[in-house]
Amino acid sequence: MTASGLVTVIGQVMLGIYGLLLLLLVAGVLRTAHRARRARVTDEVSHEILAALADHETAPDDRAAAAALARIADTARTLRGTEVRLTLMAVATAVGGESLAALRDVADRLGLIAQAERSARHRSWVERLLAARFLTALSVTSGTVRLLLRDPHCAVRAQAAAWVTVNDSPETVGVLGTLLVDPDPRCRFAAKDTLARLGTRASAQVESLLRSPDPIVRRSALEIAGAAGDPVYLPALREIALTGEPAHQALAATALGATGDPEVTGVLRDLLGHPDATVRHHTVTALAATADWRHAADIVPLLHDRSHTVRRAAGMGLLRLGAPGLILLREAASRDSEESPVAQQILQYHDFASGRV
Amino acid sequence: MSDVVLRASRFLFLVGNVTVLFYFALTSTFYLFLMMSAALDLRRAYLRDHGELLARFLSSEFLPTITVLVPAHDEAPTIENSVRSLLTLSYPQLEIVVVDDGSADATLDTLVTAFELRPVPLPFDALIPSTPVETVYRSYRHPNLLVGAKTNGGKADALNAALCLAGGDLVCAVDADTIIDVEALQRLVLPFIGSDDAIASGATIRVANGCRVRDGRVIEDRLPHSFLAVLQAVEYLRCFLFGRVGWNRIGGNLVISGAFGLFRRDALVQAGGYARTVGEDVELVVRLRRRRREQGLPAGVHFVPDPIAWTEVPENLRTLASQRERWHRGLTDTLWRHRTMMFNPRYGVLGVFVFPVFLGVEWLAPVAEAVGILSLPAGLALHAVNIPFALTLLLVSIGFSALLSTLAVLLEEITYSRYRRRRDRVVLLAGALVENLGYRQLTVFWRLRGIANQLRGKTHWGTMPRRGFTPARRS
Repeated sequence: MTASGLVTVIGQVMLGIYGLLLLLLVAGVLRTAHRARRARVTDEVSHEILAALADHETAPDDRAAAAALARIADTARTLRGTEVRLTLMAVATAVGGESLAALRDVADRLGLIAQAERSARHRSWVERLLAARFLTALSVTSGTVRLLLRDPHCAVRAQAAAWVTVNDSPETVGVLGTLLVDPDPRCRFAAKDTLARLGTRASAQVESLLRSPDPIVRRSALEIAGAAGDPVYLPALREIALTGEPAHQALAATALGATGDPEVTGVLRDLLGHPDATVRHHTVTALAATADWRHAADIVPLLHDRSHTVRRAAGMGLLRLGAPGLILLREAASRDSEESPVAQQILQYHDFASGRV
Repeated sequence: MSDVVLRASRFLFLVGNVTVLFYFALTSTFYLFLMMSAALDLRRAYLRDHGELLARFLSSEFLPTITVLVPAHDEAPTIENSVRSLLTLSYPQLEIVVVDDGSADATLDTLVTAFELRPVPLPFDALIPSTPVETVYRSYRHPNLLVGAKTNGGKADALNAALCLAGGDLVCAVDADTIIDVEALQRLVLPFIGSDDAIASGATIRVANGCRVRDGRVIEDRLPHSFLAVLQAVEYLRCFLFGRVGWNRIGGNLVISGAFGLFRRDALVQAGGYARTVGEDVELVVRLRRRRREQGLPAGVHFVPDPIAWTEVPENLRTLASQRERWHRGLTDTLWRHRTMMFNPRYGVLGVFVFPVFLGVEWLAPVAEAVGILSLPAGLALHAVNIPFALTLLLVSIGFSALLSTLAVLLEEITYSRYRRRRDRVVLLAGALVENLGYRQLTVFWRLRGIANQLRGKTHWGTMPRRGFTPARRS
């Protein structure tokens, strides 16, 4: 091939690529315009559905309620394809209680729940994920989603874990415990978050997880117990606080403080002398969280702790204990001792915060 | 004798040309690979990170706390808007720490007046050495806003001081002239929830010039009026939408923009904080990854395309030249500082692939392009150029770059479609097509100057005059 022939060929290829690109670009612009137009339509439909749901909730009799439901179904039918599902999901996030039940009823009538149940068994993880999202948003009790807790794809498992918040049973809560050691961190986070949201409904499971031999599970359970502040965990927490590894002892101290139980103070006092600074820091904060002024004197020595974080936490902790803490801080600040620099700083901070500066 | 010299020159020219051609083919293939990788990653990220699970995560008790670090030096025209924008960020546990790095203008006064700052004797923990913070202020209106005032020590020094004041699990470094999308942090935090190895995550930066801003928020994305800034808007799209997203898949992200990035605070402190270099953002990521790799710790750096921050870009050639020259000096400095990582299997994919690619593709590109441009007149003088072939090669080279830019614009249109006005889309496309005719050659020159200046030991930062953002009228 001659040079000019080569030039022609390359030029033609370049032109072809550009033509294709231009077509793609035009298609992209058209698609965006279409999406914007449809977004306006779905917005209007969402508002109409919300208005009909309000009518349904305030309906004077069953007939009016049924008419409102029929109106929602008719309005939803005006949408195309996946738009119905997405719109109902968007509306579902804004409502609860009776309205959510009504929405679920409409979705059932439109065959969307059955469709989502089928999609939850689909080969593609994307379909399964979207189905799980829909069933979670509408709080649908579904045996299929329960199976998704053991789905091969992590995004689907995480979504199914979130679904348990609205559909908990001993079996599903039990699976959440196993998800705390899932290889995917997003699943672990979703499982931990769901267990915390379940509160007392998951107490028995969390208590058993606190005694798990797996340190990762125990750590997550400690975090959940710290968020819950439920006294049911006291025996397990006390045991970990006294015998666990430092990272767990620190979390156990926080969780003990969160219970607000006066009986935990003995354990916390013992932990104030722990060699690990993180444990001391958590313990001081936990003692302050109990808001019991009798601990103020125990905290004062930590104003000259070797760790700056602990010193600061001790000062702030004394402030939280109210007048007795403040008196001890002033005493420490006036003394020519190791405690005075931090005490003075904290008092200045207190004066600023209370508007005296 | 002259015949021998001529032959030798022609031979050398041929060798040079073949090398440049080979280099071009190699880099083009690599860019195509990055583009495909980005397209796949964008789809996966979109599917995974949207939906009600995200909202649930964001109201979780276990979400990490974030401190936003804002180094400010002579930022008086934009600082109030920037901080207001940060205060409106939608994230449950957020703290903002601004450090005024000895500004000569009214940066601190603006902050004191706008946010009712009062000095506070806050217990200060000097975790990393920095120029001492003289006064710490807290806002009466916004208790989560802290401002530190110190004498000038450079951007890295200001960031280190801010890091000492920070209390969050994660810290987010932003430039004072950056406006962040209200939901950006919510998405930027996802790698820390969804991955065990995450130590940093970076986000897409867009051009703020021309955008409509109200109360520190961008309410409408618009292209700048200056065509020079439009060309930079195209560059930013290309760089972020498939440059950095593309690197995600192979775990090769080495750059988290200094304008907006999220880091694990403990990892940052352990690595010694920010270094006083011209390219402190790239150097920091390399150092972090290197140190953690040496300690056998996870060192994942993720890029999230969805969260968006806007930054003001230069609208005149002088400032732009200074910025680009500085960026390339920064890259040169970082590659040199960490040269022992090059081809070193101890650092895994970072040493054997990412670092050599950064050297060969990012750093060497201006040199190769300059050789290509300069060899044309030399070849013509030696009668060693097949003109139709050379023209075709030029067309292919420019065409390929235009193709990449056009694809970036297309990717933006398909995925996020931020520019709503038809005029903006047309101008953006025009920018993608003409960017390679003159503008790119200028950047080649500036980057070459950056290499030369680095070799000569220049360390100055240069200045970036701020115009402030275009306020939108209230309806």
